Amino acid sequence: MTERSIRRRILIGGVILILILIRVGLRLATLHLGRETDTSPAKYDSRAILLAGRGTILDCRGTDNALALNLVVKDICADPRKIVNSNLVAHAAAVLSEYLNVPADELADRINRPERRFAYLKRYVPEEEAVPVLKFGIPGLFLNDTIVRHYPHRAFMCHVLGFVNYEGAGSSGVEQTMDVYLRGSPGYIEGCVNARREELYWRRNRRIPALAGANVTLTLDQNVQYMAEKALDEVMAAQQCAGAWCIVERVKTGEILALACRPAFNPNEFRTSEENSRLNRAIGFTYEPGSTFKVVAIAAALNEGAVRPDTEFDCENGAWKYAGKILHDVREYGILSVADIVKKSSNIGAAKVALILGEKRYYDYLKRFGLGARAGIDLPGEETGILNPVEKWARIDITRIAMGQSVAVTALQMVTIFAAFGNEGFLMRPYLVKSVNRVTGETLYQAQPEVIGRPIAQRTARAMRELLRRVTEEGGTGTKACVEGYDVAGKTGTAQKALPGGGFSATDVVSSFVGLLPADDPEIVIAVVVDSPRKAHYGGIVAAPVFGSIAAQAVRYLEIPPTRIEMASR
Amino acid sequence: MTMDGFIFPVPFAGLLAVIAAMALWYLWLGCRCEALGKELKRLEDEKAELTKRCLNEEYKWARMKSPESIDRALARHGIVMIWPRSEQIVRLTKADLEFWGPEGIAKHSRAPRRSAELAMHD
Repeated sequence: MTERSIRRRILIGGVILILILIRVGLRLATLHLGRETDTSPAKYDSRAILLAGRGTILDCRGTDNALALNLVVKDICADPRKIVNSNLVAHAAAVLSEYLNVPADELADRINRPERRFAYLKRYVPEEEAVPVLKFGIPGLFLNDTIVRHYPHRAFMCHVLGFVNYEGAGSSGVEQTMDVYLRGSPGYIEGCVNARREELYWRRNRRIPALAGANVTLTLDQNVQYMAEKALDEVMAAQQCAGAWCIVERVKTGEILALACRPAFNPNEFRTSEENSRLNRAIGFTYEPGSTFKVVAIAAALNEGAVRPDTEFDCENGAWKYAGKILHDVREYGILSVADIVKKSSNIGAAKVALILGEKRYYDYLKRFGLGARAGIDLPGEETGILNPVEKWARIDITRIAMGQSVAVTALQMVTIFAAFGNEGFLMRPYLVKSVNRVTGETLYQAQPEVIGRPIAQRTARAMRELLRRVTEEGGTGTKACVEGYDVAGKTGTAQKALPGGGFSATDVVSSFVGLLPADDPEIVIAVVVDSPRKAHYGGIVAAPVFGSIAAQAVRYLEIPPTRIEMASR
Repeated sequence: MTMDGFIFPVPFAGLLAVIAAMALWYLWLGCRCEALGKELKRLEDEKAELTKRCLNEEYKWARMKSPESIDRALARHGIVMIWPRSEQIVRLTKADLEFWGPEGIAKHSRAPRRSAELAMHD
């Protein structure tokens, strides 16, 4: 080999190496500058959505007690063109119909569309049920992951939790009010997939991670809620009533411990539930409260110094004509003190106490107790109740409002009023969302007890507790609300239901009991309302035992020490 | 260095070595990137799968420990639980604790039963 040919070969080799180097450089440049121009037909641009679940709703005990959570399930999907091209439409419809429990003609209709490449055959199927579908050997069948909102306890706490609609937006209950926190933000992956829809990870352009929704912790305790719901189920069965609801609240803070309504619905199947069962009666049903409302007139009069507990009134032996109309008592009472008016629940006595106050002052107190306005609970659909302005009152109205007629309230308003008696006159805003936290632990919202007013002074609140305590003593109307070892301060109520065309129903009543315990230094307030009971009518017979049942369990569960300790005999 | 009388230039040999090293380094980087990409994808899939399993387990756990489920389980095993009557409850006040002291309470307490111990260890 001559020197010349060696030089030429080296030169050629050098040129080739330089070309390789240039190619390497270009490749590096394109990689780093992102100017990828490869457009192989085997790749398809894709944008895969990364699902972001809604936050979990928890009870007051936190992470272990999930009330609403996400469940990953499957959508069974099909590529209709593939199935049509395989001439398997009839076979696929028959096989899948039997397995998925969907009518065969409906499935055939969805599959027999060769112009389409995608169709849902059945949505939200549990994984263990969905996976075997792929073993039927039908071409073009595939599964897609999807997240659904699920309520593991079904109808339990349904009116508080609410539900989410098809689009994943909260449509009722806490799901609606806390939607802005609960809703997550989905992420996505931009890149390419191959013909089998598998991602070509080296072709990925962008990955935006999903942001999970924040967790909402409620003040509700699922054990207290269970006690309440069980008691309501029992009264529904025993009284064959149209509805029943109850609220348990911490007196000092306004935290709701339980809020239950009957009839209830399963939020997992909200589409098939009746509208009537979806109504949160505890905050959305206004009723004439009857005798439980007498406490407002008595408290106002005591607070104004217009009467004292021992001030006596003539209860006219059960019938008293005022403004041309006769007002009756259930029994023929003669002279009763204010304390006995509460204990015996005299309509005439309460009306006379209100008259001493006068319309203007009485109305002011009604407003100060929050009547005619929302209490401000963090749930949608709260009603304001009905309280006509004093200018529109007829002469008779003051006597009727004093005994809980011509005024409409929600159970929540009654709970708030009674809680003020137990909280030295302070009216607290009821709330049931305790906190909102991100999965990372960051706190987005922390509820604090909030005073919304002080309609009465401390001494009046204490006097009211003492008067209400007598209601559950021997001779009072609320003896069935007694809890062994505890003094209960409460009030019964029975009100005839107003008819749509005017007047009152002769058969349908709303029976209620609202009470505080322990009476001396109350920890909890419970309101029980029973709509149209069939076997009995009086609040002391229908609602008071429900109160007693819930309270007896709740005080033990909440470790509220008894006021009277019965000693064990040896 | 000579090859049949030709002197191979050292700088050129150095250049070739650098080019070869760069090409190898580039190849190694490419392989490494691909391996990492594969690993990332595998871990992403695994994470998604684990999240899914976690959600489903959370659901089962929530179902299992609901008061209703516990009630049903108790009924299934014929266990009837009632709240104690007030005379069955022994309450110690702060004054009791101060009077007896921790040693006094320990002395007057019964030794825990064997079954209770077992239950605790379980």
